[in-house]
Amino acid sequence: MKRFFLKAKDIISLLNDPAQAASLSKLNWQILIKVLRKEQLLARFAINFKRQNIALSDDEISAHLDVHLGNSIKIAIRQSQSVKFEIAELARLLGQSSQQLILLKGAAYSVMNNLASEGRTYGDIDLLAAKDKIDSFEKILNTYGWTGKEVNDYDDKYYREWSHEIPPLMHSSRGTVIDLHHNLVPIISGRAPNIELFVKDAIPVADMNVLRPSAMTLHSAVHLFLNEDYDHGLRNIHDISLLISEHHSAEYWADIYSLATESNFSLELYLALRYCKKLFNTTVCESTYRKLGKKHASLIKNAYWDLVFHGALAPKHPLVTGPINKLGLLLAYIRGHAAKMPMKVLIPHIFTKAYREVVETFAGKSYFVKNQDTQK
Amino acid sequence: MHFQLEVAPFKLNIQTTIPLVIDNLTKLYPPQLLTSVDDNSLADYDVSIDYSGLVRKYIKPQCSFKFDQFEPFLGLPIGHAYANLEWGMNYVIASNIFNYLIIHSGIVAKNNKAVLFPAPPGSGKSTLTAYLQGQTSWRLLSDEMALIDPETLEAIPFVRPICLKNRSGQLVQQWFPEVAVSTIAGNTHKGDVVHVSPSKFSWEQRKTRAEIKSVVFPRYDPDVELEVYALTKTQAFMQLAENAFNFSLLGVEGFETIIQIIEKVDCYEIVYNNVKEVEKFLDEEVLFES
Repeated sequence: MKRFFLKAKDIISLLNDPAQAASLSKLNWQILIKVLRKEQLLARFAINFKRQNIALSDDEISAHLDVHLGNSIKIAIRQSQSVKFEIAELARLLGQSSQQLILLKGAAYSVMNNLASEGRTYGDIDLLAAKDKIDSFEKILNTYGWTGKEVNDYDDKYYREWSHEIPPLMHSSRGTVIDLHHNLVPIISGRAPNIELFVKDAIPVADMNVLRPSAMTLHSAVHLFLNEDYDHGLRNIHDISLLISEHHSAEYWADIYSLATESNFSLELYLALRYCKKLFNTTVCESTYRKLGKKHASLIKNAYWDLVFHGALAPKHPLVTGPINKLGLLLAYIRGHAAKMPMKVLIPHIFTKAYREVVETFAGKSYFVKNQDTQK
Repeated sequence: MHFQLEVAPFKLNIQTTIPLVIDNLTKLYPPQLLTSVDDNSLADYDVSIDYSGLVRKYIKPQCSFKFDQFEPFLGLPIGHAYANLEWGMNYVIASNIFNYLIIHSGIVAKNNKAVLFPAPPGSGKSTLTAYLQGQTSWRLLSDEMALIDPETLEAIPFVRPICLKNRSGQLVQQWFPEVAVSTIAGNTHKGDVVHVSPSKFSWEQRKTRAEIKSVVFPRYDPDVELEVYALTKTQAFMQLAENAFNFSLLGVEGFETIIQIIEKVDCYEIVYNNVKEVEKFLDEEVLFES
């Protein structure tokens, strides 16, 4: 790393090969830590960097890393314990019926103790239940202390009518948040799959279930590429890369290909493989990748997607982002919204959200917050 | 203005354009701790305090505190900007530092023997801390956060201006007429607040660790000069754990650190209205060595 200032692609290359960080300057270490902290990848980097057992020649840097990498690992370990505790607690409270639930994303990685669980931090616990059981699960969770976070009327309507989940449920004393889903993508998108295809062969673990590896990977891909929210885009594509590396086998590729085709998510799978390869050099099944490419890609489409997703999946800290990435991110935002909602819903939705953002820009973030005295 | 503030054991890069903040920082911190940002000096965290929103610089001005890109609090009136920065720095340390056990506590030392005053707001701990750190051979480690090294159980100073509420600000200025005082942040969620600069000796010793000698839970009562109760180890443990910011995140490590402290020190609860009597008690009963 001779370059004076780290750029976005250096951050990704350091994520792939933490040993390169050994020669970073003090300034670049500060950039790297800030950027990875924002991307929620600091703990994952820290674990891999520590594994290299690199002796740093500069004592001051060494002490700085002991504090900041060490603390990020402590947070990740504690969060993982806490997620496992919450899952065990849910299973205990729900008894037999917990076996009807499927853990998704981070919580699933965590109970599997897979590669993607290393240094993973969590916003919430995602659960999938059959649609006709959602109301009863919501009521049971309410009685055990998980209550709906306050959302405004517009957002509540959005959740109840168009979404694939109910508004988040927060535990009244521990503050942990559960997202209860009945499908993997919003109903309004018209893309909601036959959920049976995904939950088939779910794996029982921790008195609940997780999706089988191919379905778990495809869900993560769908979640990333059929979405407008790329705040943790880099972390999410990195998760997918780790899932692929861990499960890479002939059966896995055959299963993920047929699942993606049947559920109509082969484009999302194509994009996931494309950017895992491009960003992390992930080993993927080349024949599967070619088949998907034939179906979806062209030179022009690839060039467009590269513009969009190099922006959306790049680190977003202002220290390392540039105008091209910002354009990509904006396009990804529009693309994600358009993919999730039909135009007659999308246009009013964007106006409602944009109005709020404009007001917040001028009047400050607290304008829409009802009770300003709760500030601590 | 972009500068680095050394608040040992940490270094923070601070960005602000609000004159009130710059004036107060220059008034309360020794000049050698405020330096320009140097790329070769590793800063632990970047924070900023600035006008929130474009219009809000001119109409009903508000400020907002940011930890790097993240804004943890709602905007506050511009008159609270400096206090908001100090509280923001507390928040950043309390929510990111896990290599020390952090207890919500005043902490002072004499001859490198430290006394902790863990207590909820309103117990008079800041006033007591402010009084003691101004007495000969006493010094401040912190008025708000006791940092404890889990390996050595030593207290690490985190010397910063002391936050005083309502009448205690005036009281401290009567005790120490020469003390440097910030502008008043009026009508905050804690009342009218001022920050005062610690003693010269406290600043000089800001990197000298101290051995924890005692844990004293203070409670101000205008009708009681001084009453002292010895606490059992169990009572002291519970109170200390309740006042630890990062107890739950540290898990077993935090638990064991508190146990070890409790086992080696004496723990008291005091009810007082006379800080001089408290000083006498600490001198004669707690720190006295024959």
